Amino acid sequence: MRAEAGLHVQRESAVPDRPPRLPWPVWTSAAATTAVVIGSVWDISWHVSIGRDTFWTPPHLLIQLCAAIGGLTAIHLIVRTTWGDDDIARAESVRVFGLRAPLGAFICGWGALAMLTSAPFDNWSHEAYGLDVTVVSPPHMMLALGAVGVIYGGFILTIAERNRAPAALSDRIDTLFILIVGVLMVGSQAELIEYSDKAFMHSAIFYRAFVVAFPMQLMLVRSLSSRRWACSAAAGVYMALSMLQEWVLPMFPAEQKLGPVFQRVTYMVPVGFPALILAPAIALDLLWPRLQRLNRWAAAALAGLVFLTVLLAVQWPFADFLTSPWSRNRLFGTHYQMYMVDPGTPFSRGEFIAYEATRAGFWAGMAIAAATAMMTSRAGLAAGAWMRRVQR
Amino acid sequence: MRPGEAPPQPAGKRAAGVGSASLAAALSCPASGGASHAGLGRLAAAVAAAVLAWAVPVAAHLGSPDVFFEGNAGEYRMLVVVRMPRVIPGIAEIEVRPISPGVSRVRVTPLRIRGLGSDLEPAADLAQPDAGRPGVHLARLWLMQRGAWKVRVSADGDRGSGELFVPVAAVSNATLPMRLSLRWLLGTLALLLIAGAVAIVGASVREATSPPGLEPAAGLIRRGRWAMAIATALILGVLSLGGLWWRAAAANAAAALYKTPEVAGTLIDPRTLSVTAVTARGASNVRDGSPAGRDLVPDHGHLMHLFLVRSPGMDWMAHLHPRQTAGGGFE
Repeated sequence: MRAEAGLHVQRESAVPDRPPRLPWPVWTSAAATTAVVIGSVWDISWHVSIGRDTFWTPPHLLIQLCAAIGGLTAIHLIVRTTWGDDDIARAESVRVFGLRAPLGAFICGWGALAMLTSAPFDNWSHEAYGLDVTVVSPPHMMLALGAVGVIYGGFILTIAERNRAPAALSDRIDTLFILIVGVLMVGSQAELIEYSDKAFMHSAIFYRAFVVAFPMQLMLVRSLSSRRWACSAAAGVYMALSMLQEWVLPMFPAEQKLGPVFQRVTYMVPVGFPALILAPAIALDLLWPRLQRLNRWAAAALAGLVFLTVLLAVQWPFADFLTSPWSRNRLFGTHYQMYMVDPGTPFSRGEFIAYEATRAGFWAGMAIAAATAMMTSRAGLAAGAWMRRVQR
Repeated sequence: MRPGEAPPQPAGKRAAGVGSASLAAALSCPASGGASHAGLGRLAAAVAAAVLAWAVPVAAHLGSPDVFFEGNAGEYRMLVVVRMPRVIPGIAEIEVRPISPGVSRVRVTPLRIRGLGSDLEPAADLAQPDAGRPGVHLARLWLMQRGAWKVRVSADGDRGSGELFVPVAAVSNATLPMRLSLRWLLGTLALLLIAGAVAIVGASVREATSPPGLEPAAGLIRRGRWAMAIATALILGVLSLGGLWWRAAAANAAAALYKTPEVAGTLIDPRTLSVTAVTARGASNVRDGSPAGRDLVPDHGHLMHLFLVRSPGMDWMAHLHPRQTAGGGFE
């Protein structure tokens, strides 16, 4: 079914039906997401507990596994579809640079290439400016963008199959998709670690950071899934996995291999107790029937505001608890300390930091957070609406 | 750090010269006596050229941050070389050459000289024997913050254990430019990624939502082209913002480069010279409001070494160690 030049006529094709079975890209997508998220969380824990790393540390290998899965998925699908004799696969493909494959395969390949490119870029950045001391840097963002490409490429491979699948299969894909988004949220929090500390929970920067990724992911899963509690389920997966890393990582010993050591840490430090995303997720699920009746811009504005307001309402008082002695236990883990953090700072003492110097600065930050929440909600709705229509 | 030990030797940029330059210079001096000596002058020039042709190039290190240290680790005499990275955080290469026999194991540990973190040490690194140079042990030292550090070198052998400390100044001196080959590689990959992203956006609008087996209609092809144009503009916009971010990060890194403080001296009375280190404007030696003196690193056991030379005779020299005053200056 190769497109011929000048042929713009829509015509039906005699495409035979596939037997209903769970498509394998579901599993590669889940594996890539899991690998990169576990790798990211473990890598951050490694940095704040042990310090020294190399290209070949286990967390780095997991992150590289994500790129490998994306790249191999793309190569396999492109080669099979472009040069193979599977007419069904060709009918379900798009054309990029003269090659044919499902759209998700090209996105996976692009993500893998971006992750690959970030390696020499990051290496040069180390040589030119020094080894990493921040998570949010241009090479790291390129790596994250590549990982997002691999993950969403897998999503789109999956979603395209789901959109063509019979109802029973669609339901199973739905469940897996919710799980994948929940895992992805854990990775989002790991990327935000510089702004997600409890010390910032009474500052606007905390909320500005969280609204970058979370409303988009929630509205995406809400748009795509037909389940009543899709957002809540994804948020529940996020919170359960986040708490799991909070409880499991400290069980493993650690020894600092970089100086200066400001505090002796004998365990792997977790990335922190999860934000209470479950609350705005429940609110969005409850609101969803009403949001569906609005146009997408109004729905996004309302969803963004609801997300921010509900998160603020629950996280602000919870932050008081997290900075109290009552949370310094294995359950909430606020007594865990990073070796390179000065024990005299508010981060270690469990105090709040006013990230914005003035009250006006705080409210300006919250206004930015509200606007960002609306925009990312809109992006999630748009992506969801488009993904519902993806066929290839 | 130990008084009486050999100081870290200044070294650095390789400055090439010729061993017989003084002879050549002497021979090529303008001869007195005018034209009658022109032939002698030509001869001198020819001899100078011949000598230069046979001259052996020599090299010296000037202004190097590398540290060369000789000292005792217990019963063992050791020669330690720390080759500093040009940027901090970075990795220094350390080379330990025991002069005394009997050393079987060498470990190295970087520690801040003073302040927070100077009392808690990271795990020591075992220096590995250099296969090509018997007796030499090599290790890599991760220096994650700027400032005054010491490297603890621990030696174990048949005469027990011992340790010595080598002071090192961890400062960023420069940012490295990108190699041409890497520039081409990253440029090519970036172009491929941009073109790929635009093409994927086009395909997603043109074909992705069409049922399998259908060719895209003219309207979808048109929309796809528009989407590619918009995607190109958006990507260029994002790249421009990324460029601003990168330039800001590079400017921060440049501001953090160490610049040698200028020194101002004032004669307070006939027997007292006040010396103040003045940080150049724009340099970030003074960080977090700390006094300039905090950026000075002890060298050979002293924060400041003052050399006085009588001029124009150049026949007298004094090497003094001014005392730090309460205000951060030296006298």
